[in-house]
Amino acid sequence: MNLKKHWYKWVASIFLLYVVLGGLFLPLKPGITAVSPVKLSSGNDISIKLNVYNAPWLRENTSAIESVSKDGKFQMPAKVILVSKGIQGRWESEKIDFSANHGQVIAKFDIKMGQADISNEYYSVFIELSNGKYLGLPDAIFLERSLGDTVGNSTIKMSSNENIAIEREKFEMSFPNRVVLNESVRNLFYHVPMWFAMLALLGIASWYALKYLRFSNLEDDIMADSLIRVGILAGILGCITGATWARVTWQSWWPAADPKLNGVAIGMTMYMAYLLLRSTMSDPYQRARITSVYSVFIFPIFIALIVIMPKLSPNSLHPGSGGTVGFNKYDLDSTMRLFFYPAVIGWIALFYWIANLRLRIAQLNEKQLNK
Amino acid sequence: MKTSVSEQFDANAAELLAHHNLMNAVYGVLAIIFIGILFYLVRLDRKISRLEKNQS
Repeated sequence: MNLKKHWYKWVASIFLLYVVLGGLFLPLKPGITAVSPVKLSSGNDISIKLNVYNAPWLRENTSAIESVSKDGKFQMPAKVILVSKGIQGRWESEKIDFSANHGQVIAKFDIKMGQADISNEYYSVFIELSNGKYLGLPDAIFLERSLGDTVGNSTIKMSSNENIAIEREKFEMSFPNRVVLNESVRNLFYHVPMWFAMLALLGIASWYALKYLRFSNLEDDIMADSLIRVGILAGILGCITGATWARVTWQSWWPAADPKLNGVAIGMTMYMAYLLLRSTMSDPYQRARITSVYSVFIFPIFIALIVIMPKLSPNSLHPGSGGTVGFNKYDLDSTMRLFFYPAVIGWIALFYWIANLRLRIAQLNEKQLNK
Repeated sequence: MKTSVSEQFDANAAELLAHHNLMNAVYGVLAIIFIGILFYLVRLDRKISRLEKNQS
């Protein structure tokens, strides 16, 4: 095989093999997935149950935990901490227990607000591990003052300097365990690159459409047409995979309030109109000219609809827009990057490959028609 | 009263986890992409067959 001519096919094959295997089989980091109860009144002997996901120390029974914890192989939970946003206060658990069968940590608290000026508010829950790291679930518990709790000293510890942040773990091959996303964080390698591939293909198509308008070479028009058609395929796959992902995380197939989805709906309609427009004309030069102008014009509008508008909007569910953080802040950790970038390149290469097949068929078709 | 609320939450949480094994979403997404690309390849295949028929 001629490497120079077929390089992107190799890129598509190797990168996607790596991304699919790695994306499916690498484990998730441990994380807290649920806390119960979610509402507490202050008092003595309060017990809180935490469901912990993928924590190796919960797979063992308690005696085994004690033996392995001595050699420091496993991270052990040392205590459970409640941290408030407003006053930088924290309560630490008196005692913790494990329930290996249910993947649970049970923590006992004595919480007294006393005369301290503490308002009822949401607290984040952290499990402090023996190696000084934390597992956390933000704003998980609403803590309120019980009726009798108005006298004496508070047991809250003020910690102005000692902010608990889930520190960046040193490099290890596992995916981050995000609230709500959990295992489905892997879809970043499969759903998101569909849109990158669509944008890349439509972008290249616009380039060929411009080239056609400049030189009137029908080859360029066929190239642009093939790229747009396969780009639309990637877009449709992006929509369906996105809906599937949204169903389990955002609890809706199509959360209509999201500006990115509305933008995509309009943008896809514009490209459907391209297909319709193209099918109405039979003269190849007229068809090429009109559809080239159309596709050159709608590409920037499409970009504006799915990239720029959601960024300006205050309430998008997608990362990188409005109130949600972008990829760079903390959504993408180093392991995710190791798979996300190859995924983007691999999927673009694969769809380009398919567009190339479509192009060669169209070229043959053209030749037969001219005979 | 307090325990019953907590128990109820436990039941809800367990139910949520049972119904939302999020790994299935990943398999689903991969399957959709696979089926979508396969569908398009079959269409291309048909086009090639048509070309081959015209050639002969």
